[in-house]
Amino acid sequence: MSKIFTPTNQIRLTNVAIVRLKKGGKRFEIACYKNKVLSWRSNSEKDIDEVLQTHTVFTNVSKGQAAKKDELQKAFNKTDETEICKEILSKGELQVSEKERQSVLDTQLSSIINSVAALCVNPETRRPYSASIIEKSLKDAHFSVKMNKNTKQNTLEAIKMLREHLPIERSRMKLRVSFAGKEGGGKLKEAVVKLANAVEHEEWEESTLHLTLLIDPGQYRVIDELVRNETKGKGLLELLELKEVVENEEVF
Amino acid sequence: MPVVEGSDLALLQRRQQQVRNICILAHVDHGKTTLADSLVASNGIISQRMAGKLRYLDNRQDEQERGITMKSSSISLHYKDAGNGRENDFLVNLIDSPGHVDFSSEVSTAVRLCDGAIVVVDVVEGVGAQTRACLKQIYEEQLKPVLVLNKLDRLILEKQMEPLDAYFHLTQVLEQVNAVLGSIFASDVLAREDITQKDNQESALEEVDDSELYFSPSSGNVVFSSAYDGWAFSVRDFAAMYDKRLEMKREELEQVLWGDFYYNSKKKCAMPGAQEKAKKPMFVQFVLENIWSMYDIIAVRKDKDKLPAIAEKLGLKLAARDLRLTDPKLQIKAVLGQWLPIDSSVLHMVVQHVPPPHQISEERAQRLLYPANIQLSSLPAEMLKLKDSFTTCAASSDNVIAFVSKMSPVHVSQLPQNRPKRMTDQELQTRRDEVRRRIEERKQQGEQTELERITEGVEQLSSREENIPTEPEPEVETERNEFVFVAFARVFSGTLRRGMELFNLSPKHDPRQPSHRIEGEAPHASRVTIGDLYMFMGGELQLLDEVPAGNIVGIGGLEAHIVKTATLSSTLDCTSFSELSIMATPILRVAIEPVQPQDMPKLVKGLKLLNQADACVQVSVAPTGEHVITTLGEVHVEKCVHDLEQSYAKIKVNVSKPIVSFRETIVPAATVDMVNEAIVKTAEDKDVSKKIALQQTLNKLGTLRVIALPLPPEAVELLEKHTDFFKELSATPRNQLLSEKYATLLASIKLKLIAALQDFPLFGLSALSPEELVSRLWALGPRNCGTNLLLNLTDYEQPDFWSSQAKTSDTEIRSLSDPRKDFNSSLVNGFQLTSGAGPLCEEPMQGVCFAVLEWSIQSDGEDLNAKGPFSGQVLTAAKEVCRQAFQNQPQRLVTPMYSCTIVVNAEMLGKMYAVIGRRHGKILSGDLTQGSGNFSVTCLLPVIESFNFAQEMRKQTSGLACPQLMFSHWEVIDIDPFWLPTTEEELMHFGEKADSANRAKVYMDSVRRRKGLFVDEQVVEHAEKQRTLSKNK
Repeated sequence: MSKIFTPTNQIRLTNVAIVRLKKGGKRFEIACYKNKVLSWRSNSEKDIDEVLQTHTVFTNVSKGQAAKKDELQKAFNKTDETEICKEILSKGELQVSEKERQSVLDTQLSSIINSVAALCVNPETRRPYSASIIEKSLKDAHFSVKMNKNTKQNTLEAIKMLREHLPIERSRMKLRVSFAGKEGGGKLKEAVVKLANAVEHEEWEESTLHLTLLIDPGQYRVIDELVRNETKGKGLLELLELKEVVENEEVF
Repeated sequence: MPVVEGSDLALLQRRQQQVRNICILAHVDHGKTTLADSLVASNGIISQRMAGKLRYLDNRQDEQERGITMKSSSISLHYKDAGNGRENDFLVNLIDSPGHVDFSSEVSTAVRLCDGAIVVVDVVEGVGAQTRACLKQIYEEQLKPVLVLNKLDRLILEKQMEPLDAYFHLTQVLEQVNAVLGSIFASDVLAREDITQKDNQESALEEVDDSELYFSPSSGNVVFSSAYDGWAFSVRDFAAMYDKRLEMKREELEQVLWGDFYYNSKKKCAMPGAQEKAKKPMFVQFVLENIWSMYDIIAVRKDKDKLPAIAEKLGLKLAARDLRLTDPKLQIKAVLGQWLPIDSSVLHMVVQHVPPPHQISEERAQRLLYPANIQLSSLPAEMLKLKDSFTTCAASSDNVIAFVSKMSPVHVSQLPQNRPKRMTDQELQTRRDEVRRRIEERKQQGEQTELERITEGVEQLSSREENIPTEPEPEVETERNEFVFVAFARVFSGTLRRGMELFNLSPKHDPRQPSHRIEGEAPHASRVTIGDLYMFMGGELQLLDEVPAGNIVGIGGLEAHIVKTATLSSTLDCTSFSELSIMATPILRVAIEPVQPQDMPKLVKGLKLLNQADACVQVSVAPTGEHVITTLGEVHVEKCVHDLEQSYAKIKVNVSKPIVSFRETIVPAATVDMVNEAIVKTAEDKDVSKKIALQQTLNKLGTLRVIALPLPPEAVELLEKHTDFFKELSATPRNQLLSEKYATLLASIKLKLIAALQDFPLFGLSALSPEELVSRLWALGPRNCGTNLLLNLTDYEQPDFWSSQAKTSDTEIRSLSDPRKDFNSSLVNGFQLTSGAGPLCEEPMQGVCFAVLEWSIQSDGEDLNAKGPFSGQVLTAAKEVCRQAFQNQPQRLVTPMYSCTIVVNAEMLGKMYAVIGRRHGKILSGDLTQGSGNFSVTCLLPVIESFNFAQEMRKQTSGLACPQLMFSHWEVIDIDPFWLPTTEEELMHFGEKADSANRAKVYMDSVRRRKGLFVDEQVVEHAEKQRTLSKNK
C-alpha cells in the first residue's frame, strides 16, 4: 500500500530558493528566500537573516538532509555554518527567481534604450530620438535582450534591428587627422576619406595635411590603425567631438 | 424670423453708428453659449425652438460632446431696434468665448477685438473665479461691460424660492459682482497713485469718480434672463408695461422698479423704505410675482386650460402646435419667449450701452496704439496723427490699420469659394423633384437595402434645404492645404480691400527710429497682400469684397506671414499694437510622441499647424529629442491632442511626462550635520591627500593624479553666461585668427575669471597665483563649453587655452617632442566624458574643477601600444581618475528651479501654502496687494515637482489661485544623495532609513531607474512576506 497522500504530511518548499555549490566532490545546498540572493550578491541586502531560511548547510534541501560536520570540514576547512553559507551564497549556482529576472531584464533593457538614444540620431534633423520612441520601435522590431551579452553588444544589435523600422543613424564622430603629405600621402588620404562619412574641412600647412572628418564611430579603430601604420607613428589622430548632434532647445 | 441675407449685413458694415462689437464672457457653465444661441435664433439662422440646445457656435465635435466651449467664435447678427421711437438697423458682431480656465487665451483674443462685453452670471452659483478674471480683463482693455443675470428659472423650479427671497438673492449676486469691480478699480487706482504724495490713504480713491463703473438695473445695464427658457427682461421692459396702469412716468418707474421702493396705490406713487415697512418691493410685486405665477401655472400645476387666457391677456398669439405641447418647458419657452423675448432685451441693452466703434475712447486708443511706457510727446508727429483716424474710425481714411488677434484654422471645405452658391427656390424645387423621382425609381426596384438609402436621401434632402445641396466633395484634396488659416482681425481705421498690400508690423517695429520708417529698410516690417475677406457666421464664412473700419473680419492668405498675432498697416508710422494681455501663461509641459514611431514627420508637421492655430500653446523640441508642448492645463492638453489626432497630424499620439534633467556637482565639506550639530573634524578628515585620485593606464606606463574641487559660484555664473561663446569658439577651425570682437571678449572673460578665482582654495597643492592658474586652464567641459574646468598643475605644458584656438598649430606642439603631447586630446576627451556624465546619475556636471597634479609616462623603450592603442588607454584612465576624484568629494545633485508667482485671495492662502510645501517649494515673498484682498506670492519650485502642479493648485484652492511658472536658475539640493543617519540625533530625528528626508536620493534613483543604471534597492523588501501563488503542487 502506498502512503495516503494528504495535505498534512506533504512538505512543500514554498518561498524557498536553493543555492548549490559543488566542492570536494560533494554537493552542498542552502535554503534561501526567493528573490533575495541577487540582492545579497549586489550588496544591497546586508541582513543575512533576510536571505537565509536557516543557517544549516544541507546536502539536499528538499529531503531535509543536513550536511555532516566532517564533510563540511573536509570541503571548506571550517565548521562555522554561517560562514560556509556566505561562501555558498557568493560562489554557488542558483535558480534566478522570477522577479529578480524581471528586474534584471528591465534594467538592462532600459540601459540599452538609453545608450541607443545617446548614440543615435535622426538623420534628417540630426537630433536624438527620445527614449520612449526607441523603446516602442524596439518592441515593434521584436528585439529581445540577450542575457549573456553585455549592454554594448546588445546596443549594437538593437541599432542594427532598428534601422529597418526607423530612419536612424549612429551619431557621427568628429576627427582630425594630420599627416605629412609626402609619405604616400595621396594614397593614405584616399583611403581615409573613403572610410569617412564626410570631410568637413581640409587644408595644407607646410606639406602637412589636416583633415577634419565626420566618421561612423565604428570606423575609428580602423582609421587609427591605418594612419599609424601608414605613417609609422608620425601621423596624428585627434578626437574633436565624440558625437555630433544638435542639442539646443528649438522653439517653433 | 426672416433669414438675414449676408449682403444686407455687408451694407450695414459701412454705417459705423449702427455697428457694435461685443463678446460674451463668464465663468464656465454660466450660459454664454446658450445666450448666444438665443441671439443667433433671432436672426433665423437656427430655429427658436432649438435655441439653447443646439449650441450653434460650438461647432467642434469635442465641444458638442463635452458641452464646453473651447474656442472663441464670431457671428455677425442683424438687430432691428425699435426703442426711442425710431427704428434702426444694427449690425452686432458677437463673439462667444470659452469660460474654462484652460482656454483663457481665447478670451484674451476675443476681448481685444471688441468694444463691449456681456458678462453672464449664474444667479445660483454667483460670481466664479473666471467671472473675476473676465471683469479684470474687461477693465484692463477698457471695454464697456453689461451684465446678464442668467438662470432665473433655477431659482423658481430648483431652489423653489419665493419671489421676495429671490429678490434678495438677486441683490446679493449683483452686490458680489459690483464688489469685484470695485476691488479691481480700487487696486488700479492705488497702483497708479503717486506714492510720494501719500499722506492720506483714501485720497486717491475719493477723488476718482466710479459712478460709471457699477452695474445697476435702474441705469439699464443689467438684464435678468433665463437663456435656456428663452426669456429675458430689463427693468425698462416692465416699466413700459406698467406705466399706464400705475399712472407713473416711464422714466420715473425705471428708476424705482429696482431697489427698496414700494408702491403706494392710494397716492399712485413709489415710496422708499420697503424693507423697513415690511412692504413688498416693487420689483417683487410687479415683476417677479408675475413670472413666478407663470411658472406655477405652466410648469407646476400644468394648467393647460389657462394658457390661452394668459396669452390673450398678454397680447400673444400662440400657435396651435404650441398649445398642443406636452412638455411644460417647451410651453414656457413658447409663452415667455414671446412675452419677454431674450434677443431684444439683451441686444437693446448692448446697443444702448456699448459704444459704436467710432466712439472709441481716447484712453483706449492710446493704450492700443502706443506703448504704455513712452511719453506721448516723444513720438513723431506722423504717429500722433494716426490717433485721429483711429479714434474717429474713419472708413475713408488712407491709413488702414488692422489687428490680427489669432489665426483660426478653417477646413478647406468650409471656405465659401469652395461651396456652390445658395440655391434659389426654383432650383431647390427641381432638386426635390429629382430626388422624388429617384425615390420612385428605386421603390420600383423594391429592394430592401435600397430602401434604407432612400430614407437617408430624404434626410439629406431636408438638411440640404437649410444649407446648400452639395455634390459629394471631391476627396482628392492634397494633405497640405487641408486647412487654411484665416486671420481673426478687426479693422481699426480705413477700409480693407481684397488684394491690398499692407505692412505686417512685428512687435519689434518701432516708428520712433528713423530707419524703421523708411520703406524697404524697416527691419521688422514686411509687405503682405491681403487675400480673401470673410465675414464670420459661426462655423461658416461669407465672402466680402471690402471691410470698412470698426468691423471684425477674417483675412485669408496670411498664414505664411503671421504666426499668431500681428498688426497690419498701410503706413510704417504705425506702432505694433501692444501684445495681448493674456490672463495665464502656459505652464503644463507634456511630451508628445507618435504611437507609431514612423509617423514622426507627420507629427512635426501637425505640431507646426497647432502652434499657429492655438494662441496659447508653445511647441518645442527638447535636447533629449522629445517634442514638448506647453499648455494652460489638462483640458487644454486634451484639446491639443484631439486637434493633432483628428485634424492636424491625423495620427495617434501619446502624452507623457517630460524628462527633467539634473546636474551634478561637488561642494565644500559640510560643517554641520542634518540636525544642525557641528561635525568635529579629525586630522584625518582634513588630510587633502585623501581626496586625490590616482589612476594608471592599463599597461601601467602612464600615471595620473587628480583632485576635484568645487568652483566658486561667481566663476560658474561667468562660464554659464558665456556657454554659447565657448561653443562657437571650439567650433572655429584652429588656424583661423579670431575676429577682433571675439578676441576682446575672450580677454575680458579671462580677466573676470581671474577675479572670480581670487579666493579659490588650493589646499597647499600649488602656490600658483590666480593669474597663473587661469593661464594653466586646459579645457572646459562638457563639450568644450560647460562650467567645469580642467586645470593643469603638472610640469607638462598644455596648449594655451586662451590663444590655442587662434595660433598654436599641431606642428608646434609636435616639435616640442614631449611624448605626452600625442595624447593631449585623449586626456582632454576623458575629462569631457566624465564631465558630461557624472557618477551620480550620468547627468552633466556643473562647477567642478579637476586639477591634474601629475601626468607622467614612463616609456623606457617599451612599446606604448602593446596592449591596444595607448591613446585609448589614456582616455579611459583620464575618465576613471576624474570620476574617482569627483566621488572623493561630497557630491550633490543640482536641480533646475522654476520661479512661481501666484495671486490668491486671503481665504485660500493656507491651502496654497500646503500645495507648495508638499512639492518642496520655497516661499520667497507673500505680500498683500494694495486695495484688493489678494496676496501675491513668489516662490521657487523644483522643475521635477512641477508636473500637475497647476492642476493640484487649482483643485485645492477651488480655482482661485493661478500659478505662473518660469525657469529661474539651477540650485544645489543640499542633501548628500548617499546620506544615511549616523549620529544619535539624526537617527532620532529621521529614523533608520531616512526615507522622508533624502529627496536627493529619490531624484537620483528615479533618473538612474529611467536610464537603466544600477539602483541600490531590493527586489523584495521583506523575504518572509512573499506569497506563494501556485496552488497545485
